[in-house]
Amino acid sequence: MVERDVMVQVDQVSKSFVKYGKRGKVDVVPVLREMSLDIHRAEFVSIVGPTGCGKTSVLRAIAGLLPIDSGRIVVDGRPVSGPGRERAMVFQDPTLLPWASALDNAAFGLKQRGLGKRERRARAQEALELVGLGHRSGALPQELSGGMRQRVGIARALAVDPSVLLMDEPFGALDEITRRTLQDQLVRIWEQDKKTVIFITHSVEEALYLSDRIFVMSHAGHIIETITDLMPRPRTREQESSEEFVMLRAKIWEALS
Amino acid sequence: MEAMTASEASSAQRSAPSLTSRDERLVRGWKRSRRRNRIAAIGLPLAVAVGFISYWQYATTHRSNASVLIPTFTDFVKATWKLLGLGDFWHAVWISESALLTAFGMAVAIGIPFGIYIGRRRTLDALTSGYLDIAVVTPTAVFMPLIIVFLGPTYWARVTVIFIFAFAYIVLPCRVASSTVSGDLVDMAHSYGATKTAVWRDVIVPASVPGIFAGLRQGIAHAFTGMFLIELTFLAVGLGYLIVGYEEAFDPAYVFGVSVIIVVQAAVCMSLLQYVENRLSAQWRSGGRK
Repeated sequence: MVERDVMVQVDQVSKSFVKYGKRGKVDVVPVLREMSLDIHRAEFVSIVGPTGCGKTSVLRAIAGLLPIDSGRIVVDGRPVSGPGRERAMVFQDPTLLPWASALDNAAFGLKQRGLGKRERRARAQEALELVGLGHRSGALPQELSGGMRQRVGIARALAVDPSVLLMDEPFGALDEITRRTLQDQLVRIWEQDKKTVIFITHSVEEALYLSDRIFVMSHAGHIIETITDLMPRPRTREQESSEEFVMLRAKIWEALS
Repeated sequence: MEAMTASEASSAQRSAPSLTSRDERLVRGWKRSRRRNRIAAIGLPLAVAVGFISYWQYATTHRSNASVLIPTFTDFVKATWKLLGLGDFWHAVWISESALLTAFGMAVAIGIPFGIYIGRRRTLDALTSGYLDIAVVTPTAVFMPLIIVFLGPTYWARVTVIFIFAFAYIVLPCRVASSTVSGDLVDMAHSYGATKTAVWRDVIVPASVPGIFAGLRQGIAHAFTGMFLIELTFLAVGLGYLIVGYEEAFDPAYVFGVSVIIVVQAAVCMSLLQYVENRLSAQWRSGGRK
């Protein structure tokens, strides 16, 4: 039975990939092993873990892009069997259509949902304004910087007004200054409409700055620690040198090691 | 403090004009270099053409061992001009190019969707890639006698030959273009609920546009080759018949005339395709904005 305020429930989910190993031998590589986690409505959670531990796999499974071998995933009370309207994903790479303007890229999800041209353009423009790119709506992806492209990707996800925002290391490839700016922007947007956000990151500091809870994953493909009681909001950058922040960071690193 | 500000201001005033003149020098240099490049882009090919024509005229009129099979440039121009006014010539153009248009149209209509589709279907791609590779590496001319045997000396035999010449060259670039569409883009489309049709319409086909145009350009070039080969060898009709006729009548100026008109026509076709590609690509790149 799913609790009333649980938005996303990952229940005993396992996933393995089959691939050719050395000398043509077939290997089965488990990436998720009976993984379970609950995420509450309007909660911002991060999943941190080493490379290859299955962070992206669990996110893609929640997005409905990766079929699971066993267990179940429930989003907003409905079992996941494929992509759904209540979820939108922001990819590590911005994955923008190179031939389409920022506005048309931001409107992509709305087009797939059958909205008329005028309405989808208005909503996409609104989403671009929200991420601070309203003035560049006519620009093509190649005319935008890496940070701007990623913001178009976020605008595309926000435009469809999902209940759950799935973000797969969206700031991973950006420089530190842009990364911090976008983190602040994301916090501002999240505080405005309180969507449920599942955020994948390599950066412990990023997770601590953004999240309500942090799930730490191990190479074994499951959650080894859940960090709750994070610093109260609103947070500031100055808190990153506070004793509390340092202790939380040490706790996550300890779990990771 | 005020003295420093005044000194800074005067220093800025001093340095401003020198900066501007340096900028002006840079702009002048840039414009000069652009002008030079433009002149070179037009002037060099023009100079080569003028040199070639001058030597042609000189060699065919003044040299003692000038070949009777090569007309003078002026004779060639006169013959070409005369050809353009001949009803027989335009009739031959129609005979040849109606087959070319039919065959190329069919190759495009089948080849583009087929190429894009097999690029996304691994089994079908594996099934057809060997045959397509054979079609590219084997001289297509070897099929011509077989086609004549099966279809006889008919219009459809010419259409089939031209189709075979162009088809593989249209399919292959389309196949490569669609098979290299980023999996992330397709995943992105699925994650936003795009149906299979929408993924083809909004992602795969637009992403394959450069491949489609590469295929069209290669296809038209090979279609012209096919048209000429069949008309000069097995089925002497249309322009091929005209060339053979002028050759037998020892009228080299007319042979050159017909050949050059066809070459110019093929070049115009390629340029038109390039123009459409540039226009469409610009629109594609701008997301369909006016």
